[in-house]
Amino acid sequence: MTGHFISRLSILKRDRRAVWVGYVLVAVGLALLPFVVDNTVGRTWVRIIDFALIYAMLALGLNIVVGFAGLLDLGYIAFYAVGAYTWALLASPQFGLHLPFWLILPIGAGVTALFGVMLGAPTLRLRGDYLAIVTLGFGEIIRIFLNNLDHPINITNGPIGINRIDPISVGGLDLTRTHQFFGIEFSGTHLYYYVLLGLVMLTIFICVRLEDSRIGRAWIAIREDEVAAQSMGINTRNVKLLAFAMGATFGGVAGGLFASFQGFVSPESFVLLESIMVLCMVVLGGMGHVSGVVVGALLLAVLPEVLRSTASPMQEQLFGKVIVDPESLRMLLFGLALILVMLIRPTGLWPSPIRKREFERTD
Amino acid sequence: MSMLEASKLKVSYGGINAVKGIDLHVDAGEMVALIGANGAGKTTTLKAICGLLHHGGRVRYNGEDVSGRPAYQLVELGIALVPEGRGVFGRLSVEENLKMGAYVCNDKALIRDEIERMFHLFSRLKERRGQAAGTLSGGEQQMLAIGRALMSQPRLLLLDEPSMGLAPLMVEKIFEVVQQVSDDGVTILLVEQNARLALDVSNRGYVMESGLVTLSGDSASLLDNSQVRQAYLGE
Repeated sequence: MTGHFISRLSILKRDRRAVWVGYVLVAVGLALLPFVVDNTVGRTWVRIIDFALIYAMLALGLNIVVGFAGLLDLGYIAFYAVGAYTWALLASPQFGLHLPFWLILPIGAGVTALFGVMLGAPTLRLRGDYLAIVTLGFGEIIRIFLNNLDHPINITNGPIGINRIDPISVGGLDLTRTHQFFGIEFSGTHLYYYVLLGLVMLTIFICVRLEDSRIGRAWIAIREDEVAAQSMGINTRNVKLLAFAMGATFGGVAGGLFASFQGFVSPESFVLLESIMVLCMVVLGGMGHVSGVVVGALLLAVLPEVLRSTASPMQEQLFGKVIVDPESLRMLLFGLALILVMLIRPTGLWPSPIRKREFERTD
Repeated sequence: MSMLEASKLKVSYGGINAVKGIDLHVDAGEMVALIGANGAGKTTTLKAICGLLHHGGRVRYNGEDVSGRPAYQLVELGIALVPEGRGVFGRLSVEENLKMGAYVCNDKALIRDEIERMFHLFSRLKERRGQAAGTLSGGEQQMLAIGRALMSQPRLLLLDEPSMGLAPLMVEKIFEVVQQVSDDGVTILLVEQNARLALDVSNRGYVMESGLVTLSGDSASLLDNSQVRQAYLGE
């Protein structure tokens, strides 16, 4: 079986053209996806895929902190919030600022990186459970701040949130509106899909390159044994701060896109449950493994929506009425799925080779 | 001038003084043993020297005051530690562990050559190059830990209890390698509980007792010393 697989792989390797054809097919598939989805199950689902892509970016960012560097962060959503609010404040009627997106994107990334370092610095000496508790507190502090910063000076509008946030616009082209290119109609949801897809691809590329770099190796060393890492010549302080900063940056960019896509932010989008959700995506997909994390994020973002839309009709058909509210069923099944995955595949759906080794039998 | 010189070195954990002001020096090319019973402060001394612990007193390396410098800076200066209990990266492969040892080195070709040199020095590691380090036997892990430390091309190697928990045959093998590394010109400070073995291979030795150096001198003379024979050689 394995031999067969390997021989097929080598055939693929020899035939470069087949590989390129594969790439092109995937690219075409990804490009056509929103149209196919739109015409089969409806525009809502394109929107859901857009959100799934935002989650993929978030999960990839958290994977740097938790998966690569082994620092358990339970307040990761705070960086998402910081990114979202940075965008909201710089491009909405709130302060009358309407900066272009190519300016807000780096500003947002910079601000969240700074917040990452701010969280990282006091927690450098903490590990495991203790770090988790402190980061959890940090996440809540940010949310509560956002919730209460409407007085004495109104900055965030408090619990009401900020409305009418500018969408990304390229050369005067508003990406939330419907446009025609080459006689084909692209809705805003479609256009955002391409922007998000591009950014997720970029994030994946950066993560893969990082993992195989000196910094990536330093992160892995810290995760495995901090004292040994130090005696290898690794400046553990800076390398940890870098992990926090980089993870935060991805979270911040994802947050900014979320704000511009939705056009509205409020503190209730950034509750603890969201942090847990993103962590679940990382753990379920396969901590420390880029492809696994992307799969985990897409699955956990899309499956609950599938359930939401099928649970009620299915119950009505089976029992003639809705017995369990789909919303509560969602959490029930979600919990069940987590337990099952952890029992059957303790290293995640698609684990990294390094993680896998831990659970392998020694012989 | 000595390569390494520690003077009035003091370390305390909370209120407990583990090392109470010791002087020791290691000359270039030497192998010096630091022996003593459990809890005498040997490991603490070593950790303080290589920058893993805060300490009082001075540490000089090639005449330069390096007291209080963090460990990662000392690696660049050529000091490498083989930590107690080996501290290999268990989930990384043998080869990845060795690569990690060359973290301060940027020359990829040199790293490849060094890995081959380590595989030559430790042929057992070559057979297991792709295996997770955590699945190696204790002796193999010790070899890997030494190889990993050598990957940074140190001038001073600090070895913490390389014989700990190993079968006698393996201990012998490890010490053969230590001897060879020393012959290649690397200066070594060796912490050991196995006093006879340590004094057999080293040029000089220090005996530590509850945080103080109580005896020092040529290894041969220490082997003859009646106190040492009684307390550490079981005679």
